[in-house]
Amino acid sequence: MEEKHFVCIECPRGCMLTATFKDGAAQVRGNMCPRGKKYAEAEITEPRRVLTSTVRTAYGLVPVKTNGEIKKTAIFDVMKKIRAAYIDRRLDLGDIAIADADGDGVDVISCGRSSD
Amino acid sequence: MKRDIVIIGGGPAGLAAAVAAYDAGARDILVIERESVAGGILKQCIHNGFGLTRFKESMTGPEYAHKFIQMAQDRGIEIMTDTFVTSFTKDKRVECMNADGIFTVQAKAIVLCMGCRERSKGAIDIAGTRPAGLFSAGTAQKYINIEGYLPCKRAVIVGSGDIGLIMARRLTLEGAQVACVCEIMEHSSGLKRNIAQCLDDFGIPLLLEHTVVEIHGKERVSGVTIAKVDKQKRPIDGTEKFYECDGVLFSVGLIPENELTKGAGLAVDGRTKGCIVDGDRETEAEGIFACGNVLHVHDLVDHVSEEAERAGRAAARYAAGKYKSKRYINTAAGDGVSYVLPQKLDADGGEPQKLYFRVNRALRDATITVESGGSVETYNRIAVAPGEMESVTIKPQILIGADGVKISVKVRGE
Amino acid sequence: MYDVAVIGGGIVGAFCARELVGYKLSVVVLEAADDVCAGASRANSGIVHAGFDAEYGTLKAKFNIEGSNIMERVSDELGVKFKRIGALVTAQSGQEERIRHLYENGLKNGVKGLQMLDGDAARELEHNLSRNVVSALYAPSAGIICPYGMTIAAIGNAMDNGAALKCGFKVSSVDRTESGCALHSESGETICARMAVNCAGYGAQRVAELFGDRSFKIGARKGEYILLDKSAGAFVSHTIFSVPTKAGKGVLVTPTVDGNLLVGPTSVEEAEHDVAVRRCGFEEIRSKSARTVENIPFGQTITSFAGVRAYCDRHDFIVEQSAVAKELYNVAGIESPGLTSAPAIGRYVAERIAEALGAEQNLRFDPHRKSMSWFAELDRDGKNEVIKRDPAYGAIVCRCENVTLGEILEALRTEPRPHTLDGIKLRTRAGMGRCQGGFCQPSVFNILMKEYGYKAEEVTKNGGKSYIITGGEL
Repeated sequence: MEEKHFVCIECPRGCMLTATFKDGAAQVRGNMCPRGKKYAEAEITEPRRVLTSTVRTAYGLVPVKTNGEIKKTAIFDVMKKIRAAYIDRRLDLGDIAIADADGDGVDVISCGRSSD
Repeated sequence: MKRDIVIIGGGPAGLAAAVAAYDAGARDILVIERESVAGGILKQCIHNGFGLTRFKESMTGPEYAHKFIQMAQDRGIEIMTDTFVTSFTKDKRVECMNADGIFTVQAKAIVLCMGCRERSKGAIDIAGTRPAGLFSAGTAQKYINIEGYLPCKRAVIVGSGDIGLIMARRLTLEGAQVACVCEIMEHSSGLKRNIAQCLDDFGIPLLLEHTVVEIHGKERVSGVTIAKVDKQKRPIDGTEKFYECDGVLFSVGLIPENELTKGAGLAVDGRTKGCIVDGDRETEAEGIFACGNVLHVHDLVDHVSEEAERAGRAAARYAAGKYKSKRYINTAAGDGVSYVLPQKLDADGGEPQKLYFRVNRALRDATITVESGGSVETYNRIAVAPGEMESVTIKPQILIGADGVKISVKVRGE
Repeated sequence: MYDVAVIGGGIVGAFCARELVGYKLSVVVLEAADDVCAGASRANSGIVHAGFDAEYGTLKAKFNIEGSNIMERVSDELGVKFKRIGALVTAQSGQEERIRHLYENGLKNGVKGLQMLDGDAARELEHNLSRNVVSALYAPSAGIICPYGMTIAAIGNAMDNGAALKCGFKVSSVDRTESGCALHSESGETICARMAVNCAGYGAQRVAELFGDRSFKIGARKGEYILLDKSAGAFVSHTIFSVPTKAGKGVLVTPTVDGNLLVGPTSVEEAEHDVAVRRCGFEEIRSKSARTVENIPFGQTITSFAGVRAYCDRHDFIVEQSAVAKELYNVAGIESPGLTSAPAIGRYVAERIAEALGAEQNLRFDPHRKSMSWFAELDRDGKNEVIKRDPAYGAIVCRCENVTLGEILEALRTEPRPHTLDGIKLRTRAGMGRCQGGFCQPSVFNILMKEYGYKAEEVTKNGGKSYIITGGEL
């Protein structure tokens, strides 16, 4: 029987997850909460991550994040957009910096405030 | 200037202490912050994963900081920025300096929230030259996340503390290569999740039981030699390998920044490098409290906030004159534990007490044993590791009557 | 056309220039590196030697005693911190005779206050001395000084009195002319002077050879050091030596004038100028220092570094007009006690050159320079007054050493001006403390960029290609 191992990244506890496959469905062990099961299942089918970075604005560098998980395979594409971006306005907490950055409807939003 | 409560430092600990002190009834609170914006190191920690314990959501560092800055602003708490505390005394005179000059604030209670600093690369024995391109991980983080510059194109990271792991990912995302992360111990000192999402996700090798033995390069670093180490952590001859790089990031540990504390004549615990405190986080000096990374290095800001709130509430009680004298019993670290905090407890406090501790080696299926006089309580954990602070909450009953009894915390694995 | 070109901006060149401007002479200092004080002058023990170990009758002995005797005045004029804390040369069993020899040599040299102590008397003076110390030579006139502070101040004082400074000028060829010499740099510049003073340190042999003078050879001897935090600075209160050997004065333990604890140096012959530290060097420093001082708290180490001592094959200082090129004055092989001797050597050289060129005294020469730590030395009211005039003095940039923005800006605007992060560090101590610039380096980086209009990619640690940022802007 095939087994896959993961370290859960959902919280600092870092549970060691084991997924075994039976009739195409995954059985997850080692998780201390339901998020671990969900995480392992996603890792098997389509791993997703929240991406954080900074974006240049007319009012200084502002920290940003994807407003939800994006496909792991899309990380460097979204990074390319973030690095190319220059926002010509002030950003406040939660403002959208880049709309639909991954083509799947996830925005890149501000985690801070433009300085003066 | 006179204030009921002076909080030294406006990072996560200082902000949480101020908010908690206010909510406990204090009004005359001053937070002194040396930078121009409060929030401390969280400002440059742009990655997510903060607040999971406390707010049940994953926030970035700046978002977590903003939450507390907002709470402080909502309460009208004064945060004096761009102001340095140059010294304080046991009788709670705080000397400050800013663009207006040097002045003294007389406090009724002080909360120490100065945070910690990184061990410098110079503190470790590495042979070779001292060219440009050697950074502590936090300095590199500031260059990238605050100043907006990529300090190197190809990096080697020395030490696998969380900041080093986070920086490995950050450099990679910004287009730099990370040749490897090397760690002298047999386990990483960072969180397991950070190894997974910062190294494994990007195929960055983690070399355990390896250390940098030589730095090369005259003007800018051109590479490092890395060797495997034996059980005594000495490099093994013949295992040396050259890694080309133009940057070396050092993530070799954090030390509480207690120079002001020592200047005031307060003793510092040899293991935590912070003050010796009781459950209220009161130091040996009456009415002076300490919390957050200046007290002991935390791995999660959520724990910093929790600890700071405890200290803030106690400072409010003290400043209001509602403080009872305490009868102390000591806590002690037993087998498998490197330290326990607080170092002493009020035996008659009558409240459940949370004891924080660090194990000294990684174990699975661990049993934690708390002994107090005749009573023994046990707690189970699936896994414990030195990089992850543990805690147990003990019932007040086991302290009552345990005159002079020590509390020891033991970890036993299978 | 200058009257005198001083080749080398180290401690010797600094004092030659400073004393030369005491005469009506036009002086230029040529420094190969991008900042002054780039060689041995920035990485040494910082000791003002009492003068007992330089052998009687040598130039080393002469200039050591003279230099030590005028150090109070010189340090006071230049605003450099200097403390006569005294030194103990400690002997283990079997070494008593060598200590006795030092004592007698010191008496002949004219060192004042020398005393022979037994082990217990020495331990009374210095509690952390090893129990293996059986006797000691006590020299109360020995002292500690900041070597780079003094070098920078002496060059700055020379410049205040009219000397010019050219950094990045590495003399690569020389034309000897009727009126003196033409010195050409690697980058194609030329400076003409009636006389050249060769203070090039490790490069002195090369410079002399450019004039056709092959009368001496310079060797390199590396010395590694370990520097401890100020919290360990009071671990000893004197400079503690072991018995000297042919290779040098051995590993010493001393407080620095800024309050750190310094342990070293080792002594390694090198084929070329090399400042890499070695792992075995650390071990040697720890084991050798343990013979004189017990339980040094090496856990409080903040950095390690190496310097290169340039010694010559004559085993004494060379301070003389070249026999083959009369327009060249060689000041070479200035190893220990070079720091102590430099003010006296500078005076001697300036007298000789002024005589050769027939120059009169410069009555407008002002020997005084504002103390580099004038702000830190003010009391509270004094500081408040300064901050009121200039709020930059109220903004601390380096939290370990309490260095303010005002002090950094002042250093940037004071000759000799720094253009690098290390240059600012040497002048202000920003980045020299326990975090080693971890917190303040990005701030100092920004201040430097703003002051000179540099791009981020142009800022260097210490000149050349020592860039801080190699990955560009995000």
